Amino acid sequence: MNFRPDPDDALFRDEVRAFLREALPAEVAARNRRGFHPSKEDELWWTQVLYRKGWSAPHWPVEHGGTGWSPQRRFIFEEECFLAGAPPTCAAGFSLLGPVLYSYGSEAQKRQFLEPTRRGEIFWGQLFSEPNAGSDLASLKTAAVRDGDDYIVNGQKTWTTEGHYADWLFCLVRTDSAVKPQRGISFLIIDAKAPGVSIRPIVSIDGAHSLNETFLDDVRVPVANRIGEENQGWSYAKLLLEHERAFSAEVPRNKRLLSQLKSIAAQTRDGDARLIDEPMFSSRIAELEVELQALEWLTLRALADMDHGADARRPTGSVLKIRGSELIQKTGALIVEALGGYGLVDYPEHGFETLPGPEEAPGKTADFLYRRATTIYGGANEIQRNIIAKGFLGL
Amino acid sequence: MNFELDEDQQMLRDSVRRYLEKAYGFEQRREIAARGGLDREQWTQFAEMGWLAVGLPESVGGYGGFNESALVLEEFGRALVLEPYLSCAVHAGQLLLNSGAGDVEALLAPLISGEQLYGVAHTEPQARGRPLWVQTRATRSAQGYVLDGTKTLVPGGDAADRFLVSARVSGDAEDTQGIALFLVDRDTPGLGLRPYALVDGSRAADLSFDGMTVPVDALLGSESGAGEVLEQAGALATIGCCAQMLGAIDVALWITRDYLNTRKQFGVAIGSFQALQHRMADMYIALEQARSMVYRGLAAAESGDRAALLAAASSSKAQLGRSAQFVGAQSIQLHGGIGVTEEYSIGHYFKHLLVLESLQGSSAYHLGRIAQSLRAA
Amino acid sequence: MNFDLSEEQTLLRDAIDKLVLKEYSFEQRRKHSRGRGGWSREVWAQLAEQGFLGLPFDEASGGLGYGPVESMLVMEAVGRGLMLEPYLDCVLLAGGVLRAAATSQQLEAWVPPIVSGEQLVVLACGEKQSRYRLDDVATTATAQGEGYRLKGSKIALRHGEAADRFLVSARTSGSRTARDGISLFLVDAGSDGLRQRSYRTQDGLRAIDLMFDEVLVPESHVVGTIGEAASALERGAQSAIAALAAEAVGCMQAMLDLTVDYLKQRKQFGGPISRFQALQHQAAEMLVEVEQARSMAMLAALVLDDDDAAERERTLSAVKALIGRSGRFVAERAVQLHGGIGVTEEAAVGHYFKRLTMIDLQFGDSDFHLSKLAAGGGLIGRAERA
Repeated sequence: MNFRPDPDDALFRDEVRAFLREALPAEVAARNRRGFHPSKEDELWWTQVLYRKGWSAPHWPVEHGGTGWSPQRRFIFEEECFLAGAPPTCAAGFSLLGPVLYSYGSEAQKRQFLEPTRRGEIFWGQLFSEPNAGSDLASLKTAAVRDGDDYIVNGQKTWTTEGHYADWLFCLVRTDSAVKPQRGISFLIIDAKAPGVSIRPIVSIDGAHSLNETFLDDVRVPVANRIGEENQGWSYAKLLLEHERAFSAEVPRNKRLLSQLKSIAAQTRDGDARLIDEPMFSSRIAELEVELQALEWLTLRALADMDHGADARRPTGSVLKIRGSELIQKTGALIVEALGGYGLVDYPEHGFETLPGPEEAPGKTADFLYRRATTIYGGANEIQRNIIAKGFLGL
Repeated sequence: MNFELDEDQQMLRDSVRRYLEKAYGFEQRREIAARGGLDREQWTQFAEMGWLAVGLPESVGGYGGFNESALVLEEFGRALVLEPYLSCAVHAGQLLLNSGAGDVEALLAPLISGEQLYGVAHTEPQARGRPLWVQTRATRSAQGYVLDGTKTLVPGGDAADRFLVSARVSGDAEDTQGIALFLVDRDTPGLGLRPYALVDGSRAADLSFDGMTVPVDALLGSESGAGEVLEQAGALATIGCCAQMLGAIDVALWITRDYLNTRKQFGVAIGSFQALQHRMADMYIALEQARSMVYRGLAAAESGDRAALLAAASSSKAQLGRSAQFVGAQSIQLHGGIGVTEEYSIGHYFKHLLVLESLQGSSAYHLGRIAQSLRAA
Repeated sequence: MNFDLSEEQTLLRDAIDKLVLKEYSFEQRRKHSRGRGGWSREVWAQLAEQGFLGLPFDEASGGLGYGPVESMLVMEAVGRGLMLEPYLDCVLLAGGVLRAAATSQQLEAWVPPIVSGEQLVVLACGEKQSRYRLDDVATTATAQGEGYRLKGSKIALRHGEAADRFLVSARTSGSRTARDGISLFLVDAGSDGLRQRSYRTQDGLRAIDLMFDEVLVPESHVVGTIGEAASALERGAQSAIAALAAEAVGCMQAMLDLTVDYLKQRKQFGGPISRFQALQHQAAEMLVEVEQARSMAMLAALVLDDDDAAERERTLSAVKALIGRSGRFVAERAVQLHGGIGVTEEAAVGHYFKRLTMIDLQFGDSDFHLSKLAAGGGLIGRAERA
């Protein structure tokens, strides 16, 4: 056991920072750090910038354009990009669809989709959850019935983040109702423009449009768009959910929020002093800092596990997800509190400049409201506790 | 000690509840929010029902006492009413009543009738809950007084006709002495108004006074004695805010309970999962604590003991904030995904409680105040 | 960075685990606690024999030259076994101060008897008014002839009754809370003018208050340089905090294991109570806290070797703050989930509870460290922009 960070990783971090200084304009960074949802334009533009550097899909196998970085370097890269204010890239495409595609897809499918995704030419939407299949995802009912060389797909999907940006969708469908639910699910790729696909906005409590529901009415999907074997879709989906365990704590987001909290508290007046100098308030910030440290070290351990393929039975993903999501919420809440009255103002994404309040305010409360979802998305924390209790502790 | 409502109180509560059920359902509220959050006709309705008179003495045309104000506020909290009743009726009414102004009845009459909307412009950005933090200055001049300064988070500020403005004639930021209360017309030259929506759909405004001259008769009461009035009225408004929070907490809890009994996953109603049952039990405890602290606040208001009132306002607000944060957050959590949608009501309860937590001093502020009083003891 | 144990580390951990297994079942522990002073000299001798007492000392002074990671491994076992022996107090705390303050000749003279188990040395620095502040020293040391006269008192020295020698902080110059002017002295237990008052502590050990009434200490027993002991005391305290973190992890893991076993075998309402989801989720929360604590114990071991003193202080405050809180949480949950037996003397879980409570109180509780962190400007100050 040796806890010293690798000195080469420090050099790598510098390399990434230098790249960001050069490639990321201040205006784009400022926009993406506010807390409003990123635009499709920013996401695709940044994907293309990264692509030209060869860094748009770092975690993919090298033969598909990945960088071959260690998990620790992936983490460093993600963290530096996020903290610098770089827009995200299409998570659905890079972290969900991509791995399933290169692991189980046919050569034709890989040719059609992998490289264009990596180049930032395709935006993906994920169709998993349904109104009646949330935590119990396996009970999904969207059906795909065989008709010659096609499937006819009918059903309703929900919670598709950035579905309205999507060119293509990937969808879990039921292809067999007679077996145990997990055994009758297939993984399909669907053209977002196909007849019968209608994507409708779900406005979230931050007043923004990021989520969507999707109706599939007699959508014709070629069998050639099925990834892997029929009725094997659940196992593919499980794979990709386990893939990203070490990143579940959203450490970069937590770091950004904490940094913003301190900055806001330093600039906010509390009576005739700075809010950050008020002992009770700064104690509460200290508490969050301590938690973030623990979270970061939990992540380092998880990254090491990834690297060495060590004890996969440990419920690391669940631990990280539970605490990471809670910390995002606690830090966000303290930011809103720090902003005082201006934490209550409904700043619109465009035109907030005309409203009163400190420069950092717009976007913070909106983000806080949206992040009420962190403990719900990606497997609700109650489910994560089930996984720990039943799956690992054996209760 | 009797925690039951008497007949008159029951009638008042029932009439408010029935009215709001009919006129302020969730979809109706959405429309009101879209139209600007303060419907003058709705306000006039409130006046006609006599609710703007609640808590004011009969001698000036009022009805009932502070307990009755709390009843109305709780109902308003239950229905997520957007109109700034707490601030423009209860708080403003108490300020006017005790301001020491000459003809209080004449001032209150248009408030009670709904003809005039009074905005309370007292909070300043650095105050963060301090009831007496006033840096806005009022300087005597030939024409009256010249006011300079900023006020923030004035509920209903975008629609108010007149403002109750606290300004300092002498002393330092937090001194009790030296504060004056002025009644200022909206269209007074030098009065800058920046209105905005709050995240719960209600409206407020920032006010700025840039060498704004007000006549001598704008002064309510004595030139430097408004401090105690502001403290007293502020404490009542704080407890009133607690009552409003209580209403929202209560409804949020039962909406969530109903959801747990109907939503099915894994073949059963999710309310059958013990972890969720216990969560709801914890929420119920938080609700009961909240209710208890509202009663405690009301008792302190009734006692006539000023020190007890001020202390109770802090204790109650601290507890209500804690309960609200817990019940609000867990209500969303237990609803899963739909809890974060605009369409569904529970997120709006969360946002309303978020706003109320910050009004009249956050729970953190009030905890600090209690801690301070422990140190001073 | 590597979280796997090296071969040597594995051997070390296996050795201490074996010792705990052999000597420290809960029943055996009960027996040891009834021994003189509340711990076992037999076990201490075994620790000496296997080299554990020499772990952190360098080879020149008779030790094994191991580092914080190895201490962490041993302390986790100490925690799991709820060991009563003064390993932390003597080897890591007093030993840590000695290593930071003493000259190499002094180390060569004073360390071997510690390593062999012959002598027990305990740090005497806490005073009635000092709370957790190491710089607050009212005990004075006045130069006299070829030595110093010590006057004052120290309180709450764990294992003080069994100590052969005390490592005493006393002031040779400066005001009571000044950092400069604190000196260290090695004082024999039987010295003239030295009085003790002993008492039992909550966790069954014995502590003492020490009174110095013109105790004469020869020049040779001045540890290191006069007036410059403050940083050595800090180093010692830092080692102790890292050690407590590891011990707490050991206790917490043990409490979690006990609780999970209990839930599985305890039957109520027609079956094992482990089937109740509310209890499952509480156990899951306990695991999460243990994992956080474990991560912080590792961070502590890392930062002990950091040259930046301010960084060490800050990080160890963060570690202690989290360990205190997490430890108490796990302890409380474990007792709660054990139902009635959780509060009995008979069951192990109550003893772990007491130890974890004590750990929070040693070297500053959570609130103390959070305030300290806050006053110091916090931990994570990195500029957000790349």
